[in-house]
Amino acid sequence: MLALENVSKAYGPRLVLKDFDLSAGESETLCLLGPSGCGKTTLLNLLAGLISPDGGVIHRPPGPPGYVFQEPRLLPWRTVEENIALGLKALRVPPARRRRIVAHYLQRLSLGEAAGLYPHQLSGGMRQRVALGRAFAVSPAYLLLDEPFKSLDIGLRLQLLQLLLDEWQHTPRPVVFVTHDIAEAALTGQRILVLDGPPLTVRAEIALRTPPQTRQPHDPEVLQTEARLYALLGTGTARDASGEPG
Amino acid sequence: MGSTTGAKGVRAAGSLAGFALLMVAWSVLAALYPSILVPSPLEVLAALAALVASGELARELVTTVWRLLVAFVLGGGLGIALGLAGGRVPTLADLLRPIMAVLAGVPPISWLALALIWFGTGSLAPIVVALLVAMPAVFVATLEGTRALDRDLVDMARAFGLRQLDLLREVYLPALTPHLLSGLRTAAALTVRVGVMGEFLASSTGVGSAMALARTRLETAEVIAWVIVALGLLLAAEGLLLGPIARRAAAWRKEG
Repeated sequence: MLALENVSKAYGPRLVLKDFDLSAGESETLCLLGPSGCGKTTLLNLLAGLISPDGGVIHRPPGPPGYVFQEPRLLPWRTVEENIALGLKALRVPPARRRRIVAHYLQRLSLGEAAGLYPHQLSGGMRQRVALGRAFAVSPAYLLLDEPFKSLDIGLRLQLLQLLLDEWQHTPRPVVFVTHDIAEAALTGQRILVLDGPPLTVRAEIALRTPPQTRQPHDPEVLQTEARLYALLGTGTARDASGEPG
Repeated sequence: MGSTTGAKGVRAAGSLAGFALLMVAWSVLAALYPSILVPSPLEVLAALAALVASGELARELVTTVWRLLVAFVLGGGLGIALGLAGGRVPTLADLLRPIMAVLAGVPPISWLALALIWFGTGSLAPIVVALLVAMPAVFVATLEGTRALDRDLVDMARAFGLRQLDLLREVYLPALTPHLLSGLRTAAALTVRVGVMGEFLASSTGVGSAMALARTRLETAEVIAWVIVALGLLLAAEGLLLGPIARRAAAWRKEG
């Protein structure tokens, strides 16, 4: 169980979270949509344990988090292999096992050829795949994704999304996925929260019935969800669709 | 590739021409003035050969090199340690900055005057003075490096569970290396200059002291021979010590 209970966090006079509650089930994909600066990244950093709350309790499953950031955040002085192995090193995984795990993800993410390259020698999509590999490699107890595919083109984005879902299906775990992309949320989330803030508030919550890994972009539930999200986020383009309650 | 080798060739030729010009000017001056004022390059070479043959060069060089190494390692180490600590604790940085500014700002010769009173003649005075002059350069460079550190990378590493030594080895040191190296380069040059000066005035052994003795005997060729030795120390510090480290540290930038 990954949860925030009554959590508050302020930066000086700016209150980002006030008595905020949130929980993601043991194998739930939870998508968070909301305007920039509403406090989503603070929320993820609290869940990751990077910052401490001013008040309230945070429950985390035992084990390391896998965090994928908006930018790849690779160590420029380490090779692809070494970057993927970073979290394993911190976990004191013995070198032989570390190499096996890294080799597995190099292959899964089609990075085999790039194993010995440095980040500046990679394309943007490859870099973000390395960042995914680094997160998967630690067998994370939960995954935190902060708009990880934001700067990628649509083809790559769908491909990486599929990879993410495959991995999740293979090892179900709580996933908290912050995104600005309505389609991404509708394809991935078992639950979608529409947020506002600061201070962070939940404006709406949508629960989906179909399992994420079976969804296609044109499935009725996906399209319906997209329409509701468009309406909730205040764009006029989906006005007609918003009349119909999901 | 071809163009860079070409450019390198042109630059090497330029340096060589500059060196040749220096030699010609020196030879002209040597021809105009008596040998006791300006000895010729050949006379200096002969003096240098005599120093090598008698074993004097090796003896003084060993003394000087270990003194400089002690000063450099202690000064550089302290500078890095304090710079890193100052990067972590801003109050400490505020506290240390004026102290380092004083250390760097006071002319080295005044430190030497004090060191002579405190430590007398021997190894300690040149070592302490060189150390005091080298440390601030490394401190400032390290502190600037921590300021320029990518906080996002540090957060990433912390999210993946890196702490203390892991964080230092994987993130801080590689990120700081360019800054550290520029600080250490300045420090190495200062250590050699100030250390040899310290020996000249406050010691009876070492390259600087040998230079001082040659001066009192008016052995001008020998004085210049020792100057060349000091210059060699400066080049060795760069070529043998810092150059290889810099090349290794920057290897990842070069690839591809």
